[in-house]
Amino acid sequence: MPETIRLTIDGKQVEVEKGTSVIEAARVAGVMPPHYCYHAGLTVAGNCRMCLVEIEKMPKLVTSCTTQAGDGMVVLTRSEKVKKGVAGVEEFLLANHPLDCPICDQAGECRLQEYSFKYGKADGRFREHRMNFKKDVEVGPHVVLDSERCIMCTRCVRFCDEITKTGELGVFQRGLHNEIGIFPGRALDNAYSGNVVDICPVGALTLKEFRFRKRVWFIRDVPSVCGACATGCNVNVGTGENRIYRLTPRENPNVNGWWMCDEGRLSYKATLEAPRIVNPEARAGSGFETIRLPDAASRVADRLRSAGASGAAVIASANLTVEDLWIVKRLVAEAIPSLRAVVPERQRGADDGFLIRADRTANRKGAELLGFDVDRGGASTRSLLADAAAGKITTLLVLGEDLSTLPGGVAVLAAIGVTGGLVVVDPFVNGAAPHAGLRIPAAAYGEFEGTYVNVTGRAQRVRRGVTPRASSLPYWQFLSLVLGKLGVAAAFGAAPEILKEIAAAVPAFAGVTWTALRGSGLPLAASGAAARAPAPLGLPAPAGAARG
Amino acid sequence: MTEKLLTRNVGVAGSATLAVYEQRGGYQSLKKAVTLPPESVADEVKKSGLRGRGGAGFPTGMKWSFMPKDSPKPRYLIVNADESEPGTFKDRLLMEEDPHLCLEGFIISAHAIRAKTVFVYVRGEFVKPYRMMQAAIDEARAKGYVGRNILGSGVGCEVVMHRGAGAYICGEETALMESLEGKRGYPRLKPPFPAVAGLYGCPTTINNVETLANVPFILERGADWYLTIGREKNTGPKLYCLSGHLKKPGVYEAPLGTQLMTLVNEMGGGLWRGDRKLKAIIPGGASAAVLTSAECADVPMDFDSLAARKTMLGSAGVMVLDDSVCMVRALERLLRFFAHESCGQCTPCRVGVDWIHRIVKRIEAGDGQTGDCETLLDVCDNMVGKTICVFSDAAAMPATSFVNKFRGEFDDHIKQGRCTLPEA
Amino acid sequence: MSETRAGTGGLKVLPSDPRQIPGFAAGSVAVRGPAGPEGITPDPGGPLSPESLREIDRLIALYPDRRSALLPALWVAQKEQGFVGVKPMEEIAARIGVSPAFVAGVVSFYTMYQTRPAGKYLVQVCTTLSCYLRGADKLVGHLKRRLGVDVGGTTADGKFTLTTVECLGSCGTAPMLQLNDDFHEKLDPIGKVDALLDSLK
Repeated sequence: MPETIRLTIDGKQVEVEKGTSVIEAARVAGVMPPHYCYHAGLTVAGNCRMCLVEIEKMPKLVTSCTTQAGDGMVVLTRSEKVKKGVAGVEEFLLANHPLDCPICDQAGECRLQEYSFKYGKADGRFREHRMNFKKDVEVGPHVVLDSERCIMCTRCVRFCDEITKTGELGVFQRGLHNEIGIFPGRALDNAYSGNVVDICPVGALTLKEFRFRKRVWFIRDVPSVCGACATGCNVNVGTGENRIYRLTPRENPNVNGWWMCDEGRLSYKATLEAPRIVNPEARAGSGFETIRLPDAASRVADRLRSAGASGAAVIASANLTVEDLWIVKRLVAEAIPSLRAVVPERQRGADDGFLIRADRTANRKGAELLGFDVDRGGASTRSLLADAAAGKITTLLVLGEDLSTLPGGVAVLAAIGVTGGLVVVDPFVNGAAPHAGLRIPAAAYGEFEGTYVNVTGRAQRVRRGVTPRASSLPYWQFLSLVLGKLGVAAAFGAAPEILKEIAAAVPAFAGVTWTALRGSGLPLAASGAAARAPAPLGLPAPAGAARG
Repeated sequence: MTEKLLTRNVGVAGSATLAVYEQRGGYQSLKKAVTLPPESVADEVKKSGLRGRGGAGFPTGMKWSFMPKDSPKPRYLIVNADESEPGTFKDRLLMEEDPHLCLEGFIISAHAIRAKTVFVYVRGEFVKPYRMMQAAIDEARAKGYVGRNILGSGVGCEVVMHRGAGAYICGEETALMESLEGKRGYPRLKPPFPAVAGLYGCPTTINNVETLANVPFILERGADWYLTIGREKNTGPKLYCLSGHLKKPGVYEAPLGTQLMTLVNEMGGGLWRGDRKLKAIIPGGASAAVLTSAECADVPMDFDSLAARKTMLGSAGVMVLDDSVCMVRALERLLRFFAHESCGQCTPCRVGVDWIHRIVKRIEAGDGQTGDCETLLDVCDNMVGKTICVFSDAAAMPATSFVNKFRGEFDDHIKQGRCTLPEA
Repeated sequence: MSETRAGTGGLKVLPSDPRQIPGFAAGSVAVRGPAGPEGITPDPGGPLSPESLREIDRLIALYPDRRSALLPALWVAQKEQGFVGVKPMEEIAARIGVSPAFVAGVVSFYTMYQTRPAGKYLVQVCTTLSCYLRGADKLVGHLKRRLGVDVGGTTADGKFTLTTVECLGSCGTAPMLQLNDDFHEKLDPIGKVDALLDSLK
């Protein structure tokens, strides 16, 4: 049992573990002092001097982030002395800060703005000429630096030194000429560079892909998870005008801490840029003609029924939600018993020991827990596609996968393409879509609501932030229609209903409810995840650049 | 006190060589020290009342007592030879003219705190002192005074010379350690204090060159003798650095507590120009509050007396200004120094020092505005006591004292839009 | 000169270009180089010689922690090439085990490390208070005229670079300057500095 101590902050008594800093104790008390350089995920720098507090019996104001809480301490965060000190620090920060608010991305989520209103003075007395630095330097493929706005909190430098251990950023010069920068000829190009934009309290570091796109007060943040790999970093999907403008990491100590990788951060762009299947379509001559949804479901049902378990198969992407996959399960268990179904393995590179997994799918664990063949080593996919290429399979239902990029897939396109037996259910016109007999528009990332189970067995909610494009619909919704046409009653109104059925039927999901997945998700007992400690977020030092 | 101690070898031919140093009585103290237990050496220094000569005046014996009794980690003595406080040039004199005295002091002190390694951090610009010290170390090593087994006593001490590269802030002890560790010279957060976790996280004591140069004498003649020099709680000889508008600027040794005007008139030879009058004196280096000529009448030059007069002895850099000096211009020159040297780590100092510099610069150039002095004083108030180190205070204190004590000149500049003093 | 504009309550309004403010020396307006790929615009420099690398290795072994050898290693590089260029910074970074950005941060913090070639003689005139009181500004003015360069500039023949520096710890012998490694003190009257420059090849 760790030793605890008691202290009083602004009259409130709190009990914290010995060794806790005053700033964290204040957070517990609900009176977090203003701060810039302090970040719970980085070492303490204590250089912004904004978190000043008054502690009884100490003659000077102290920074709460560098002071350890002591038993019996009496702390004041808003005494007159503190107010003057903090207002003074805020004035110093604004003194050399450019009046960029009208053109700065950070406006609306800028600490300098917030604290200026809450803790600062109404007038500025600085009448001198301000320091001038270069204002829009691309320090990396995704990050732009404006040194005039920089308040030298060094969060970004500490991030590159301590989290990614790549040390690209340095502090140059001395005194007021201090500026953040990179070494000549190099760039801030590690796989997590976007995080420095999140932690920068002001608009000094901005994301190239988001720069000048949208004012943050027009953005609605939807808490969700990233779908780019099996880690399932918690994110906020920033939506506006019914499209996604950005992804930012959401804190979850059990999954991703405060961070996410650049690839995941930008993974939403595919939903905007890649051509979409807009309406259900059936092949007509050399092109496609739009058909109605119930008609599409009938056609799929007919093809499956006539091909039967021996002549049909399902390839389901591991990016499908648990709810989607449950309907697939019912398809292969009840509607067309023994229908072959494979969830292909999609690996790229290796686990980097931090957040990026070789497994580039979001829900492989979920598929595994539902009893699917998750195709270890790719054998199942190869065998199924070989059969399809050989003509043994005449109806192939491909859900969310791009057949043209699976090993042996191209041969299948040639074989099955002409028969019209390829049914592609996908958000995008992927490489296989031109060969399909039927194309059904599926909801893309951000347009559906469901459950993903990450690699450690934590079930998390992936949430809808924008309405599905045109006639797109979640996989489970379309497949339910197909099930209905095959005589299996599967009328679900929404994903939570499906989860309820899963919880009752699958031991791994016992006790899981839709509301229980809120916030930071739920470790599933069956996979042993609950007993497992949170995944450590350490990155082994890359060769050549040991220390920063 | 007429006997020269710290400067006894200055001006003597060959004073920097081991042969002459030994011939004049040197290294007797070291020979004695290595036969004594470290604690007894430390006790003697503590009894003597020796206070740090680098600027803070912290009792040396007390500082040494902060070193842990038992610790498995290596212990370090760092000698702060980064002398960069404007007006100060005494450590340079000692290292160039009597490097063996310094070295003997270093080794005895290392033994007192059971440190096996001494790092001498000398500022980058001091190339000659660096070479003199290195030559002295080489000579001493050959004689057995430096090394793993000093004179067969079993006491070991290595002395390593380490050059800085131009940063006043590296005279701050934690910034010095950062620089020694190969980083930018950013002062560290305290606690932990150096004696607990200093260089490489190990128990470390940092002392000034002049401070340690006193130690051989204390050990040789005893703390009781040392207590007879100077005043109560301000004991020992002091090297005063006189500069500015004097006939004979230079380093002068006198007991702590010597009257300021005695230093100025008797040793410094009085004002350099007969047709000028004394206007102001900065008693303790650039960071000390200025004294008007009226305030200089009765000023014993010791730590406590100057503190009582709301200034400080500091590094004893006595800068004399005559009445040709425009105090606005003088302050601008001082603040230019501070703005150049701020490390930039924390907000109040990084912004504040440059801000007050720009205000004074503007006033000096004739573009002052009503309210500038009030702004400057309030900004100084916001700079004090809220930073990681006291550099900010060191800039704010003189600025405040100049503006308060010579307010008329500042107001004049603002009203007239120019300096009304004739060009010097 | 500044003007008083109507409606500002009698406050003087400063010109928008700081260089027009009288007495506003160029050094206080930092229009710095980019922090992007050109970094702190140091010269590329050349690879370090085997002798220098050996010395750097010796220094690394000398200290209890490798990184303590960084400042001494940078001195070795500057001794060899006259300044610390990009290539030596990278080599030293790799040898010691820190990132190049870290090394560049250290180089730019300390004023004595040059990042671009300077003249054969680096003239560093102290201009802090005690030297100012004894005529440092006149000394600088004289040198500017004599050498025909501004502060920070190098003579056309590459012989002299003129800079001003802060307190060199020689206040008792003011005014003075440092020429490469050596102090030249008590440079009053001005003729002394002329004699000094004349003596330099």
